Amino acid sequence: MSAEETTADTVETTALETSGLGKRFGRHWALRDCSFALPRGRIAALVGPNGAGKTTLLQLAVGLLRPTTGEARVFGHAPLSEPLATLPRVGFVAQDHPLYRGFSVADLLTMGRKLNPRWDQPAAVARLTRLGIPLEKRADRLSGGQQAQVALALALSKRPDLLLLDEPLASLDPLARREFLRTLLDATMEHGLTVLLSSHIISDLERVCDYLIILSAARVQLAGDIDEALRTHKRLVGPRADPAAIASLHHVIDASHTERQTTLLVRLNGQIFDQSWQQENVSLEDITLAYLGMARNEQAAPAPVAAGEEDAR
Amino acid sequence: MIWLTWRQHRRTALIFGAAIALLAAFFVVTGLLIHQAYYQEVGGVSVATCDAQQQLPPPGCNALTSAFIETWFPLSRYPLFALAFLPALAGVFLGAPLVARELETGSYRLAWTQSVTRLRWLAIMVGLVIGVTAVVCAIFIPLLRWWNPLLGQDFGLGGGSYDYGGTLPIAYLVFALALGIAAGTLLRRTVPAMFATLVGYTAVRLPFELWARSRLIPPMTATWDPMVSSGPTIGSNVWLIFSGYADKSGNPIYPPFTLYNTCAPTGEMDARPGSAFTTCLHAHGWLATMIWQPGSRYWLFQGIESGVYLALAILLIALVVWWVRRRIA
Repeated sequence: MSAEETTADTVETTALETSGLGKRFGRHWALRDCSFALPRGRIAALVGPNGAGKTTLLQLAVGLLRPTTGEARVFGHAPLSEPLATLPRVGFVAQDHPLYRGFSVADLLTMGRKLNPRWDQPAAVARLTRLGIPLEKRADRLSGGQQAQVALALALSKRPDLLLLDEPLASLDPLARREFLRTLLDATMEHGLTVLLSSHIISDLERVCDYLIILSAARVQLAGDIDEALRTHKRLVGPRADPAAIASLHHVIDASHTERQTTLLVRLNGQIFDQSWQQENVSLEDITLAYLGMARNEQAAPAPVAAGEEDAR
Repeated sequence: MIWLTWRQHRRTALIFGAAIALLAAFFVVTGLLIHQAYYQEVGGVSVATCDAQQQLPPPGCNALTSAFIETWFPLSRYPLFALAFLPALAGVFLGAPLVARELETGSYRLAWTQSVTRLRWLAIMVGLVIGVTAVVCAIFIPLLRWWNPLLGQDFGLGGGSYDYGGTLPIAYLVFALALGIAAGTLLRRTVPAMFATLVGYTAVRLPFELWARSRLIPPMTATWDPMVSSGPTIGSNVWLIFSGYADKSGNPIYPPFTLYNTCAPTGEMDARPGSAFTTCLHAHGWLATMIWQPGSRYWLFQGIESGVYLALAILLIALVVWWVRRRIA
């Protein structure tokens, strides 16, 4: 009995795990060799430019898409082959938050109640009432922000353990964004659910997220704790130099040079002993942009550029 | 799921339901009128008694029957032509949008991420739509049959209303719906799927009726010398495919212009054995021939045709299931 519990526990510490996950549409790889493990209870930001594979990744996780290579596991189960083990536990809000246009908000809630075993009707009604969204109004007569809120309410009232949101903030004005994120934060704290939300703007997510996955050019560039990312990524400023020495120990993500100065963004493997480099803290946005820039340059080049050759450009 | 299916399609269901109810009301009301006229006795006879004694009609029957036909014939024919389009309409307006609209608007991402698998979603949606319409159709078939006593023979094999009796209307309907659902699933767009359904349905039905139906079972044939005999009696209720003349080896001659020009230059054609016409045919080696399907094959034909359409429908639904599971993923 206790042995079973332990195995169950280890499986349950990871909400979403992907290994070698890839998806090809025709000849185009939308996502490639994607491996990460999102621990339970985290609010994770999935960041990347448009077309980086964020939607593909989320749809693979919820079982809307079938992987070409590798697999995604939600609490240890494959979404497509074990839909009954995963679907009730995953809340999903697709990009542009589709709703049935002719349905009233109350109709949509009825749909949620009829189709989901763990549905929480009082919470759904309370949430929408608090936001001032009239239940009798038709979905297509709501504002974009209200539609997003209804879609979020539908996903949350399923009482999921994992919530996947695809660009939930894209169509919202700043006020609606804040409201949306607040609803999300409240719900997360109440139920301890894991959230993975995608965006191409990191600044929105900095306040709510504690985990970061950077996706670019169909590949995962970074997946990890945000605090740790902030701790291990530094900007190094020093007299103009070849960064090869640094690159041999640390991971150089971005390098820029002026006539007299070299600025590097590196992920540290331990300490920097070379006193000629001045260390600066970086923001999450800096890190993200550096990774996205690196990915773009790799994509542009015919062959991947190794970290040590980066000054050549 | 049942609630969702109803909620999503209630407008279409109400429109179709209202149309069907109107049609049913029309058939009931006119049917009652027709029946009243049919059984009304005028001078001791009614159209019904005349119909029953066709071999030896009582006096007054001719006038009575022709008056009845004159009054009710226009009504007894045209509504059926309108019904011919009902399966296609159901395929176009119920079948085609069923999956296509979800794919087109992107709402499948909402529907398939609830706690119900997409296969179950599909099964209930498709099952309900096909099931309910098939039941409505099954209620209509006996109503039509009852509606107009004049059409009794017409529902038989080879009759003009053959397609509206037996099990065929249900088979047509299920096929049209399956075709619409499949077109919508594969094309992912409602309007093109509607057109594809209409074209596909016509492309199957027309050649089937014009060409394939009479070849489903080898028909009965009889060939005889018209100078000697007047041919076999085939009874009423048959589907007469060909009746005319043939060459020596029994191949039907159509159109028989040469034959007529040779043996009936004045246009007088007395088909009785021994007449000048038949003697002339005999002299030239021409034979009389008849090709027909006996009325007793009614259910055999109904069974085969319904089977073909239902099998096509099952294949199409299987394709939809495979496509939804494998290709839209």
